[in-house]
Amino acid sequence: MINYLEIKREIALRLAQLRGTSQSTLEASYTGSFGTALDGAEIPLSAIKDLILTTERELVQLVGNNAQHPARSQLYGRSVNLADLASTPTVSNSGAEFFGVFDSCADASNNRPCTWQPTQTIADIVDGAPTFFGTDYYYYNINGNFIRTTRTAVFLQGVAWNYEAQAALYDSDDDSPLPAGLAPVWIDGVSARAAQVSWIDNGVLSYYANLYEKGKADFNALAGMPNVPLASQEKIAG
Amino acid sequence: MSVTIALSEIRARARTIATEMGLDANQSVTIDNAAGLRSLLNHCLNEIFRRKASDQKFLRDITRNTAVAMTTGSGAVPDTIMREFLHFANFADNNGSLITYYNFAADYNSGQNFNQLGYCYVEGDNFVYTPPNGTATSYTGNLFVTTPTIPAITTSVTFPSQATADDVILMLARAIRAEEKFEIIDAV
Repeated sequence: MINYLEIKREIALRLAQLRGTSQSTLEASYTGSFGTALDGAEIPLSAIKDLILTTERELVQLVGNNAQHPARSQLYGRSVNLADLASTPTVSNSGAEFFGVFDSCADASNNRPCTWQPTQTIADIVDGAPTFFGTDYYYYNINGNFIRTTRTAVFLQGVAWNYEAQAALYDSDDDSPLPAGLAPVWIDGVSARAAQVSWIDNGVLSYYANLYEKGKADFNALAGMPNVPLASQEKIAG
Repeated sequence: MSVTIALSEIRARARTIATEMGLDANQSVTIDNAAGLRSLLNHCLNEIFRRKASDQKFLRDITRNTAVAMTTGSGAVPDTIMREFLHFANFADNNGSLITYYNFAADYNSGQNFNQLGYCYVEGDNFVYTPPNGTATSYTGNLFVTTPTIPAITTSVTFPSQATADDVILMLARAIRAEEKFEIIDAV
């Protein structure tokens, strides 16, 4: 997790927005309340908030796009219970938006993982001859906007993140769920997007943009590492 | 002694054997083939029981006594009885009669018969039994048929012995890996 205040004051520092002209006044602004820390010359408080949260959302999307990303552990959300042939959900059971791809499915009654099977196999069991096959098969498949499963009810898991909830946590200097090691990348991303005509040096923007892109690439390179527990939509042990 | 094993355990044992024989289970193409195992179970049961019934050494492993309710000399042949091996069967009635079985009714109807023997054959889906000193309709009561018999599959299977259960499970594991020939079926 990363505390929002850490991001806020780092951003203010890098964009030269901290109020103060001496060590003591700068220190007071850096460590004090963020609401009174800015000199207000170029960037309003709300714009910094928007930039920080939209950049966070982009990083969340980055994790969500990759079913094998280890940072999914910090961002997991589960859907409401879904029956066979239900539509795939857009938000989690707590109303947070899903980002990227779902990576796993589990039985709603006992949390047992379901494994990926062809829709034909599921249809054979569900529609064709359930009395022959029995009912103890934990299979699922996602076909377009629909889920198929041999279970009565299942839930999907994926990366979920709620803008409004995080905005409230931002206001209270609480935490973002992103992994702590990502703080510098996040700060670079916000700094790179702070462009305003005739205010900030293009070279500095480019510098931060390069750092941000490299940070994102490194972060995404983690994706091949195994995560526990993490199912995927590929055929794996199950 | 018979053993009853749940279908889920049969599948689990067969899957474990199939996916861990000589390779990493995570690399097994059959790791998630529980439905395939279930589908093969009927055929593996048939194959193992037919093979055992065809070999005198194993015949007693799969022989069970079934009581068939006879009414006026006729009673339904249970689905679990392997009709192709009825010539191996022992028959008995409530009176302890000596009973002989004919594959074809003509052998009984046209041959020399003896009053001290009972005679039995299958007509359509029914046993037809003539008791000693009786007629084709004179007997009502149980006919006990001890013969190779395939267990019924419900949510579990009751095998006649642990060894037979183990043999079926091993064949199931090899069958899902396409390593098993179904010799009896292939020979038919």
